[in-house]
Amino acid sequence: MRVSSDSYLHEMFFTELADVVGAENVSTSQSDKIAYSCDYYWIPEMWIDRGCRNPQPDVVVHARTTEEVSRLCRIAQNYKVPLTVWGGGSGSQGGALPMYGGIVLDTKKLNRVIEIDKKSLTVTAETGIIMQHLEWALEREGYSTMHIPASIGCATLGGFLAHRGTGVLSTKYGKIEDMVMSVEAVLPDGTIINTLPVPRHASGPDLTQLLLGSEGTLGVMTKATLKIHPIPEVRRFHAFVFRDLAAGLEAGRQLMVQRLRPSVIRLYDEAETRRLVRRVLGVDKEGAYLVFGFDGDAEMVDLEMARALKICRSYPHEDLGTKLGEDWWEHRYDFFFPNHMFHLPQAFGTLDTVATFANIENVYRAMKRVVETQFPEARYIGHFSHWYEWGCMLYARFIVDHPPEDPHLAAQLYNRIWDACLRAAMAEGGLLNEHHGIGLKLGRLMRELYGPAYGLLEKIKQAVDPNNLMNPGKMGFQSYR
Amino acid sequence: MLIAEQTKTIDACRFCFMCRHVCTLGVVSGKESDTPRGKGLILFKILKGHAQYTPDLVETVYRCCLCGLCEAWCQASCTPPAAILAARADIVALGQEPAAVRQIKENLLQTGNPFGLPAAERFRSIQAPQGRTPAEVLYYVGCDTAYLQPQIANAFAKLLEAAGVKFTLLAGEHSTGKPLYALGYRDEARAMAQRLAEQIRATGCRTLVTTCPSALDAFKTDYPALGADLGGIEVLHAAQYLDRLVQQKRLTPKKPVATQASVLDGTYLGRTHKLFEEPRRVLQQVPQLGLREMVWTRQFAYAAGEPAGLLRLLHPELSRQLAARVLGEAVQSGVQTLVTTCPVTRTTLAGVEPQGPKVQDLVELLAESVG
Repeated sequence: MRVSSDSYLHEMFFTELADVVGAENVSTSQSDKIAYSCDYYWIPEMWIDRGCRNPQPDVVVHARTTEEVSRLCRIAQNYKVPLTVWGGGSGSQGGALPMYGGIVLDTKKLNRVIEIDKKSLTVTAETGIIMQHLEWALEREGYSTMHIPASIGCATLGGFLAHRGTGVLSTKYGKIEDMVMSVEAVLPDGTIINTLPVPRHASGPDLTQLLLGSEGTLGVMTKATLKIHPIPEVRRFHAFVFRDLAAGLEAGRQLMVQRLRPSVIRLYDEAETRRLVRRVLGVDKEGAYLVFGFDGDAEMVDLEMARALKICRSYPHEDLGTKLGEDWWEHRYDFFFPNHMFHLPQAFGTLDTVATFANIENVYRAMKRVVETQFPEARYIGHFSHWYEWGCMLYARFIVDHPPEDPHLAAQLYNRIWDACLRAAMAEGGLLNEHHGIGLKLGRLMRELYGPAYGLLEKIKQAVDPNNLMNPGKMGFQSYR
Repeated sequence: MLIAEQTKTIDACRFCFMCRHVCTLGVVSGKESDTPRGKGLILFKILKGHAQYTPDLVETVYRCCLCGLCEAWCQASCTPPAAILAARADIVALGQEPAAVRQIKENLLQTGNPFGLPAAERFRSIQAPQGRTPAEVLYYVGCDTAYLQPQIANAFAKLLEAAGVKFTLLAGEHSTGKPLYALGYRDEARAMAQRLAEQIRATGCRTLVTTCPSALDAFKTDYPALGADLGGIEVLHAAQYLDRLVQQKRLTPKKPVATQASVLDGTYLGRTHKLFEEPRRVLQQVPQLGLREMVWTRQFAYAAGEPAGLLRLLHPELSRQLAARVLGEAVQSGVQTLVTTCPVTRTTLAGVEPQGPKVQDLVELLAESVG
């Protein structure tokens, strides 16, 4: 149903919505339609910049309880109206955009911290809580989820769950999917379910992991229980500049394969060291800047730090000491404020991907080659910021300083760069994405990524949401009609 | 359009989420349009002619308490409150301000206070000399203190007398004009400011003290920009002046006040004029008073919607929610007495759940201790 039709049916629809959440939590105002028409994805930003009209919700609804979410889902089904979940709206993939109008369900009033279990070290919270607010609540008690992304103040817990987010300390503490114990979710038909209470078992497939990364296409996650950790006694950092990226990559790999447990390793390529690291941290060096850190008990940190320094010093380097490492930690969010971020009229995209150590440098170089040979108007920079025992994540970016003024031509160029880069990455063993998700931006490439396995995802989607009302237009699933 | 002068902020804020977790209204309402990003998107469309002001866009521009937390948090030196003030002035120039806003303006122009209460009753509940000459100090009471929190004025008068300060109230006192400015009525604000400045100059006083942070900011920030000449008079907030009197031993807190107290820093006194230490120094002299800090304090203190006293008038329910959040923070921090330095905040916090911490103005608490 088109909500904005002049049929009195839509009055019945609004009456039902207001009956669930109260009239004050139902908005059709122009202000809200504008504010919910744009997330952190470049194309809707560019569209606004050029004076074009973005897809808008017909109605924005704030739910306050899981039961309200359940009733709203039933209303959406009854009226066959699309429902798109919006947490912080700060995603870069267009995941929260209401492409077919309908209901935008804002979860930010689902923001209670329900329980801190100090014996098991877990926290249960509603998913609309802004992640920084959850962290502040835990810090008062001496704990942290250790999920500390740059978007901590922008995004909700549910947003991180919905697209498998990560934080700067992921190398030790894992991505959000490693932190989750269980979730409560509302299915598209309104059924409220809970996944099993602990994440390790032999009691069938893992439904928690099925819901994580589903980006609102399989239902609405409303509560989650996460692991928490005591605030570490110490947190220490050290920085180096390596002669080149290859030396830095090998040093980082050694830290991981020798099974040290750094909380963070961040390695910037030569171009990003020259541009961003210089601008934000004032480190005026040629080469590849690497910062790493350990946290925990002081004695353990000292031991691990000594081993790590020994490893790093065995590659061509300049030792920048602890201060420039600590400066990075202090200023880690500054990179994302407007004075440091890329901004319109520039076109820019974060090609974050992940691969094994055997492949990651090839992935980096393949995408670099694509940008430099096929798109002379673009430049390419990157850093490696989330490391695993078997490989690492590449946060590559392309920047076009002067994209076409025509919004259609600009969008076409933008999409061509994405397609070419990600196909090159996939050919070398890279994935479509590591922690920003798929959303609207990358859905068209999902079938190429998964191959025949994508059919299984489609069948799950069809079984759970046969009317395709949940966040239609995303993840490559069949479009809403 | 005046918002053209705020292009840098509007361009930056429209796509930036980095302060949303501290945006006072955005956090309590959960609405994207209440955050600086939402406002930035709307003002960008207006600026570029991609949208025209409609009643609901106008309403959104007035849904900001000007607390300045976004600005305090921003690493890019953006000034969302200034952009909002510019947008309101544009809206007024177009004659599209909401009826409730226009009513406050009419009240101010007709009665000299935003409530529309009779000018003649301004000092009805305050026992202090008016129009005394010569006087060492001119005490500018302000609308919120005079009409809603007169006990603050009486406590301040008592302290001044105890310190032997020869002071006076301003006969014919009226609003500074700050609410007019904050609502977008810049011409009317200028006229009111110039009139008040002239009255102040005529007293011949060399020091003006106010218990109202909005008045302090009007005199120190707005008046120079509005061409309202105070003739070089020293302008102080009561916290500064009492701090001075205590340091000079002209006031000595004697009576114990056994409580765990925290200062609730505000927008103008704290974030704008950085007067964080003065109220704390005063409290440290009060016997048996334990001074503790809440987690959110100084430039990052939670806001209760103090600026120009407008949020409470325009959006009472939002104001109540802000107050509940502030009190919740105090409860979580184990505060027994929450010490305000602002009559608007004092009013806003009254009678709101969670009840628990006693709310008292610094002046009241000190008067209790001085005895």
